[in-house]
This record gives sequence, structure tokens and C-alpha cells, in this order.
Amino acid sequence: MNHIVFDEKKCAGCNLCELFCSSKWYGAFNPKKSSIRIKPGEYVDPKCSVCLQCDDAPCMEACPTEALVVDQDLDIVTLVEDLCIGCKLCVKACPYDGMYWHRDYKRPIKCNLCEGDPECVNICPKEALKVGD
Amino acid sequence: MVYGYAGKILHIDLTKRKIDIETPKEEFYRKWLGGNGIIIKNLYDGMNKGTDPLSPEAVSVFASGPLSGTLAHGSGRTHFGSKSPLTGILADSSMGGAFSAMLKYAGYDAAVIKGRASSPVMLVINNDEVEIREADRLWGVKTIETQHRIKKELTSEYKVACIGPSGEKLVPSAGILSDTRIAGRGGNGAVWGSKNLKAVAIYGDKDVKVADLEKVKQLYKEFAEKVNENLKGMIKYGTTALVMSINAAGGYGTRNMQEEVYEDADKISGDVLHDEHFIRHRSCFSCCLHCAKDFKVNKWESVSEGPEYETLYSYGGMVGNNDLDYLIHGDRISDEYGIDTVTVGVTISMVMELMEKGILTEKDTDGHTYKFGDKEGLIKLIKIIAEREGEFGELLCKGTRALAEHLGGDAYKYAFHAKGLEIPGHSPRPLKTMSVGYATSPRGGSHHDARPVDYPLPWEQRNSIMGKAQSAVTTQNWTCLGDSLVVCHFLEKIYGVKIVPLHSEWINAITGWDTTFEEVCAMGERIYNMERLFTIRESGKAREGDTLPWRAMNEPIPSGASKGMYTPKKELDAMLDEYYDIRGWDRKGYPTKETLKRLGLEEYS
Repeated sequence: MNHIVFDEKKCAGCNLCELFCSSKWYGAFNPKKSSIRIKPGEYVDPKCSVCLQCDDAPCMEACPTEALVVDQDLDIVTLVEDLCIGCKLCVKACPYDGMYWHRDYKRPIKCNLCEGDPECVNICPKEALKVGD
Repeated sequence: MVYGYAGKILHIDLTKRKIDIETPKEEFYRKWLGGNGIIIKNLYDGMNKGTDPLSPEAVSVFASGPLSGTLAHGSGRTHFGSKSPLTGILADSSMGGAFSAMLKYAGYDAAVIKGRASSPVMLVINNDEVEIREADRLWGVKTIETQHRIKKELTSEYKVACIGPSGEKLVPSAGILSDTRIAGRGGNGAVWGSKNLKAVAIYGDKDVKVADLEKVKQLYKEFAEKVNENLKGMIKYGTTALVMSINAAGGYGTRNMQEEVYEDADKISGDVLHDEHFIRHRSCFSCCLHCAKDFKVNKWESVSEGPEYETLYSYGGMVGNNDLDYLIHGDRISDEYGIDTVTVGVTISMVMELMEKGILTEKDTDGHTYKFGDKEGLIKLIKIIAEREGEFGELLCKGTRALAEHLGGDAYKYAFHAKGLEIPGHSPRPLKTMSVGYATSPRGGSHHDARPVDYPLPWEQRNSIMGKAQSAVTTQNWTCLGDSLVVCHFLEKIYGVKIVPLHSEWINAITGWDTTFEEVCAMGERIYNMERLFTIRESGKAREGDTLPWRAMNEPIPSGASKGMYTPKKELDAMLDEYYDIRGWDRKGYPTKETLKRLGLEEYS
């Protein structure tokens, strides 16, 4: 499925993607409310964590209320917020550290590709992010 | 709550192991803004005149600003301030990275630290939980390893600032390091060492909210477009490209300023670094410029973020070293020890000249003859200073002023400092703005008070004092504002090296205030004047302290594009008169009562 593809050789670790993501979806600058996370390290390439929109998504399997479903139009795994009961099982099930929890909300934080026009891809100064399959 | 701010300042007493939280009123923030403004207010009010900088009574501050944690360009910088153990006056120094953003996300604008813990400690801030924890096991550990161990113990989500062995040993030019960035200048690391404070670790997951999010994003996008259009060289090379351009301008300090053109500059240029040593681009938090670079040593296994231009000057031309492997390695070990490469490199260059002149001999050193170009000697001396090793290390670690005072005679002629702080790679001789700028800087030889704006001017205009006092005032007021917002000075490459109406647009979009351009100009001027008052109080000197190194005032540059340039005392005096008049200070260099009143500082007159 479509997901954010990260190029560690291009990323310089500015974390602007996190700031645009959190401010777009939660109205505040807060990297811990971003659905993409970049971790710069000392003298090593940065690492990225973001939902990979898995074909056989462990989060979908873990969800007891079928709140995580495939959006056929966008070709991603999407969260139906009304069905979500905030049990965090999806966050625990994700093997890629691609779903997050913040105490201010009762729902997981998960990339939805900005419904087709990802802000992080648009603003990345190093063009280190793109949408791929 | 004021938008853009966390609204809280931590006050830590390490002697009593007591933590208090101050919640300043909006007027405080609008008067002092953040960063340097918060620092100087707390240093001036928090210490009595003449406080020993390494005593428990000394105050050490680190601060973010209203722009920290937002997407404002280069807003990841963190400012540290104290009374300098090197110079005895203001030490403020900043580093890139993400530390101040994390401080803001944890819910604090600044931290004010005093006292002395009875044994090594670290401060651990996890949102509302603030703890002083034992850190004996980290004492003696170098900076990168210290951060790794703390992150292993807490989680890797923490941001850590720490000192290395140099700070622990109270080396007066020791700095504070986070990730691979150092707030190097003036000895803030030694002040932490004197307090037995090894590190501060911060984790925060709170919001930073701004008044007008759409406006902030618009300002960012307009800025980022200009960065991509206009700063391609900076993006590719970072500050390393300056070696060749400043050498061509005839202002690249060489062999302790005996010359300002280095014949081997092309061997340590941005191009060679890029082609033979480059590993990756690095960015501070929230910056689209990503000017930092990781470079590798080719001869043996070592990597450093940097060297930046200033180290390419102090461990390059100044010591006659044309070998980038040694230069990069010297930069890395300086970071590991946590020490300022400018003060260390300029001190080493003075040693090399003193040995050349016969003022220092092998009997005075550790038995080694240090000559310009001795790259093994460079590495050896960095370690001797960083470790404060033996009598020679004890002598050198206090910098060029102390070395000259110790030796007496003509040694002062070879000490390249202003107010005791070694002068970096923007020489005062070919840049009259920097001549009057260094002389009047409240912290001495810092190129981040006045800015080196004279480079593009033709020889005649550069050599003229016309307009240079005004230029120093304008750029100093801007850097004071930038250091309080807090944003990186490289913003000036887009907005200009001065306060502009766009700065008030940024402030208003973030805070929701209605500041005018004039009010923002007064903020920069107010904070600068407050720093001046602190430096006068602690040094006991006003005009008599506003001076330049002997060489800058007495020896014309012998060759190159700036041949013949220097700043004789009569020129400096003329610029100082003009400078004080523009500032509204009397001719003795004191801010007048009227000026202090105009800036809302009447209580300090």
C-alpha cells in the first residue's frame, strides 16, 4: 500500500516534518503528537519511524473493534475514530514503532498520508520523504 | 498563558537540593523576551558584584526563547550564561541542536542554577517531574559517552547537555555540549563543573502553541524558499567555504595573526573537506538550512561534526596546520573533553609564536618545542590544556591574557584577545566594524555581538572608520534580539544583519502581542545595555576596558588583499566616541541615566 518512504542518506535530521505534522493535525508544535518521528544520532544517519501501511497489518489484526480498516481510495490503513475504544493494542502490536499514543488523546496517532497530500513530503527541505508503494 | 512561552522558569539550588518554579508575568517576557534577555536579567539580579564565578554563589542560566520549539528557522539553539571564569565578565554562549526545544516541550522557558552539590549530580527533567540525581559514575566520562550512558539509563528520547573532563577540572574555557554541539565560549562548562553539575537531561511531550499558526507557517515558507534560492553554497559547504573567501579578503588569521593570508588555505578548504572528508549533512532542530556536516578523518578512525569555520581558523591557519585529518581529529577530541576550540587554538598559536621569538623555551614547556605547523604538537597541546595537565597545562588553560600576564615583558603583544576572550576568525584589522565591535562587546572577543559585515566593501571603504560605529551598534542590537528570540544568526543571510519589521511579525504571530518595529528594536538595545552594565560592574571598567589586542592596533597587515590595514588607537578612540554617542552613553563608556530610563532600566542607573 502507499506509505511514506524515507531516505536516510538525504535526511539531515531537522525534524520539521514532525512540527508540520503535529501542527496540521493537533494545532500545536509537539513532536510527540506527530505521526512521523525522526531520530538524529551522533555521527550516524537519522532513523525514521512512521506507519508503513502494511498489507497484512498487525494493528488491524490486533484491533478488537475493527476500527482500523483499509481505505481503498487512498490505499492506506485508516482509523475510524468512532469505532476506536482507545485500548492501545494497535500501538503495542505495531512491529515498526509506527503508531503512537499521547496522553492528551484517547486515540492512537497514526499517519493517514494527510488524506492523500502528505504535509511532511511537501515541506521536507532535503526531499528525504516521498510516497511510495 | 502567553503564546510561544511555557510560562515557567526553573530555579535550582544545588546546595540545598531545592527546586522552585517561577511563573513570570507577561510584562517580564515582553521586556526580556527570552534567551540572552532572561539570562542577563538573572545574572545581574542573582549575583552580588564581584562574585567568584566558580563559587556556589555564582549563577548559571540556560534559556530558550519564544520561538524555541516552533518551526522558526534555527530555533533549536540554546543559550547558556554565567559570569566567565576566563574573563571575569559576561559569558554567554549558545549551541545548536534541539536542547532548548525539548526544554520548552517539558514546560520551561529557562533554568537558573546556583549553589554547589556535595557530590556530582545531574538534573533530570521529565515534564513536571524535576529531580536532582547522583552522577558520581559519570564523573570523568567524556561528553559523547556521557550522553549515551544517560540515554541508556533513562530513554533515548531524552536530550542531554553535559560537561566533559575539562568542565570537571574547571578549565576556564570549558563548554557545555549536547548531541555534537557545544556552547563553547567563555567557560560555562567550568561553572557547571564548580557546581558538581555533570549533566541536564530533559524529556517533554507538551505543546508549544502559537497565536497565529497559519501566519507562522506562511513566514516559514517564505523564508525557506529564500534559503533554497540564495544559500546554495551554505547548504553544500556549511561555514567551511569561508576559509577560501576570508583568505582571499586578506583576513584569515595565520600564525597567530602575524599574517592574514595563509599560503596553504587551499589544503584545508571547503572543497577539500567536501570532496575528501564529507559524510553527511546535519541540521539543528527546526532548520531548513542544515549547514552542519559530519566529516571523517582519513588516516585513522575518527569522525567529527565540523570543524566549522572558526575551528578551521584556530586549529588551521593560526597554528599553521594544513592537515585536515589532524584538524578534524582536534575538533573531535575538543568536543569529547568539552572545550572551546577558539580559545584553545588561539592560545596554542600564541605559544608557538612565543617559542619562535624565544620568549618561551623548552624549559617553560613540557620539554617540547612547539613550532607553527607542528600538527602532532597541536593535538598534544589540546590534550594538555583540556586535561589541565602539569604546570604547563595549568598555565595555558587560563588563555592568552593570563599567559601574557604570567610572562610579563613583551608577551602581551602576542596575546590575541579582547577583554580576555580570544578573538575568532573575523579579524578586527581588515574589518573596522569588528574593531569597534570587539572593543565594545560585553563578553570581549565574540563575533556574535557585532557581525563581520565589512567583507564585501572595497579596500578604501573597509579601511575607513566612516559608518563603522553605527554598523557595530546596528549589528549588536540585532544579535542581542536574535539571541533572545532565540534564532540562529544565519537568519541574517535572508533578513539582513539588523532588526527588521519581519522580526516583529514573527514575534506577534507567535505571542499574539502587538509589538511594533520600534519596540522590537528597543528590546535588542535594552538587553545589550543590560549586558554592558553587568560587564562594567564585574570588571570595574568602562571605556578603559574597550580596547583591542596590541597587534590589531600597532601592526599593519603585511600582505594580501587587506595589506596595510590595522586600527591604530586614535582610530579606535574616534570610533568609540561616535559609538558611545550613538548608544546614548557618556564618553567614559557608561550608559547615561536618560538612556537607561528610555529603555526601562532606570532601576539600574
